[in-house]
Amino acid sequence: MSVITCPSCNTPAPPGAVFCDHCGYDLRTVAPMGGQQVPPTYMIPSAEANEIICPNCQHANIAGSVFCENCGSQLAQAAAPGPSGLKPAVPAAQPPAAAAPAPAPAESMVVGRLVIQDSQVTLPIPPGKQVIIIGREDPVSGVFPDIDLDPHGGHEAGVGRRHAQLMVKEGQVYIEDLDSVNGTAVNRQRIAARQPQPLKSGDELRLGKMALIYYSK
Amino acid sequence: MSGELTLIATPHRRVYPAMDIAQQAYILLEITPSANAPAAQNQPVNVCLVLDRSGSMSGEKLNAMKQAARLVVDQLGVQDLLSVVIFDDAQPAELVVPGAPVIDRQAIQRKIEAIEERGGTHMSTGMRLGLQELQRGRSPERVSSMILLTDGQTWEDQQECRDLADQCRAAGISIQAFGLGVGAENNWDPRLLEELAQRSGGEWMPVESPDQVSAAFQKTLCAIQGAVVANANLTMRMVSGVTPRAVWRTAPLISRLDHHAVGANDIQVFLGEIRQGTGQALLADLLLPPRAAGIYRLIQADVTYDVPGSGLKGQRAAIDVTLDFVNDATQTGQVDERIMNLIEKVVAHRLQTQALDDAAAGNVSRATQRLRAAATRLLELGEVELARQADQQADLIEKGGHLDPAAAQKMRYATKRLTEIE
Repeated sequence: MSVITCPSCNTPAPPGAVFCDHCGYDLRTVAPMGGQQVPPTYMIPSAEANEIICPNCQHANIAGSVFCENCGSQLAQAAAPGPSGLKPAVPAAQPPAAAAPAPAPAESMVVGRLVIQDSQVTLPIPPGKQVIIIGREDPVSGVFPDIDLDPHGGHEAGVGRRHAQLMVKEGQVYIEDLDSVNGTAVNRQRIAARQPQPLKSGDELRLGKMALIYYSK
Repeated sequence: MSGELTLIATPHRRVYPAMDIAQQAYILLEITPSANAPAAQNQPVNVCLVLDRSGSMSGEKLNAMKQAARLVVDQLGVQDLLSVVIFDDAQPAELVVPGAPVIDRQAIQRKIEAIEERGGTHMSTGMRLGLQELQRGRSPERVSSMILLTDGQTWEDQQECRDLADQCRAAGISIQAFGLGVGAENNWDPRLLEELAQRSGGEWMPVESPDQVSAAFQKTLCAIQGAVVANANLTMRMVSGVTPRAVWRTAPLISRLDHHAVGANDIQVFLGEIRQGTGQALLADLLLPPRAAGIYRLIQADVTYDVPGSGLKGQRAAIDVTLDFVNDATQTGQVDERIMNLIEKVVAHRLQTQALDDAAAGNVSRATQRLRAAATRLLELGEVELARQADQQADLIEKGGHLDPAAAQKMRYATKRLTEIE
């Protein structure tokens, strides 16, 4: 056994070294001694990856930034390659507080009801809203969800104050988990936080341990 | 290694693009008590109450403070050390109860009951005496912590207070700072309390009204007694070229932590106590050096700590942070959603905190702009009420040049709780 040379930075490393002391390169992938060493390559040319200009405030952020250093806007580069990026485009449901929301077309309103499976209590979905927050009312922290599960044992069942939301996009109702502690499931399949899932009449929802059936009428 | 702690490191991307320039990365470091760690509910503690007895405390506030202190005495026993210091603007501060095991509770409570208000606020004298008492009782068997309560602006000794907080950190003593009452004139300065907590690895919070002092003290005492390890210190050893930009604590609450350089490429962060349940989660904001494709161990993180109860000192837990750099651009878009959510919360907290600093410094336009940006972030996070408050204050400062003082005190704390688990 003899000394090996880090292919990444050419620093010699003792035999048996796992990582290069100088640059951190994983030396387990390096053939010891005499083996042909292909220097690793860069792929992304600096021209296209240099700075990320914030579309909101034009601040130049360093490469790899996910939120703008100046204004906090999420930078597009961070979007996961998914069906529609990282965040669902909630149809202008939460405009900055000042702007009065324009009346939305009826087809973008969430309608229907939820029925609690244990008690068979029906909870009508309040009409005329594009987004329905389901959770537990907590006046202390100023949380007033559209559908309050607190009187129905929501706390014991692990329902969060802002647990999940219903919304409509292009005529389809979606359920989105709002990063709840105890999670949301549709037909016993846990859904990922912040990723809206389509919902159809008769589907079973679980918020924490609480089971509800969604009916569109 | 005795295994009281479990360390998990998660980068914000599964793989990073191989680039010939520096790029930003976030690493989440979760430090939690191991399943086999000794159950920590009633660790022996070495606690000093450092209490403000200035004239403005008279009446309801003073009574509530004394009541809260008496309840602390009830929670402690012969294995614990308790001292009580009161301060005003006289030198030196008064040692009402010298540090000693809690044997005769009634005798201690009588001494607390006899406290009367007088004078102004000079906090450093109280902190200095408190630190002395804590240092006398300091040992690895006990969790050492200072519980500090004030209602007023301390006069001309902010720097001494900061220095004392540094000395507390050096001695492994965290400061838990409470500001009593919001919105009054010459009220306590949230920035100073934040700094004291930050420098000492502790925590701070506003106590909005006197009737909440007891609950606040009880909660803090429970947290101190629930520490699985104390005097925890994180060292991050980085390969040359990795630059730390900031280290944030994201659990139990969001706080920016001070880091200081030790050696050429290493930084150290004082963490204080690590509790059962939440543990601590840290988000390191780093600049990565240019790297070609391959797997690299860029950071070695280790935490040294003491184990109260058993009295073990200088225990250690460590983890390697390896990152995978690839040439395939289609792979690098994947981000860890959980970490992205934490980053977003930290960004909202940072924007709002900066805005409050701008406002305090009289920079109206900057404060307005940042408050609006914070409101947007908060709305995105679903924090409708906090967003509304930020917007409201942005309107207020834009029109009148000043924030509502009560809102400024409360808002600084409110966004710390974005990551709090219900």
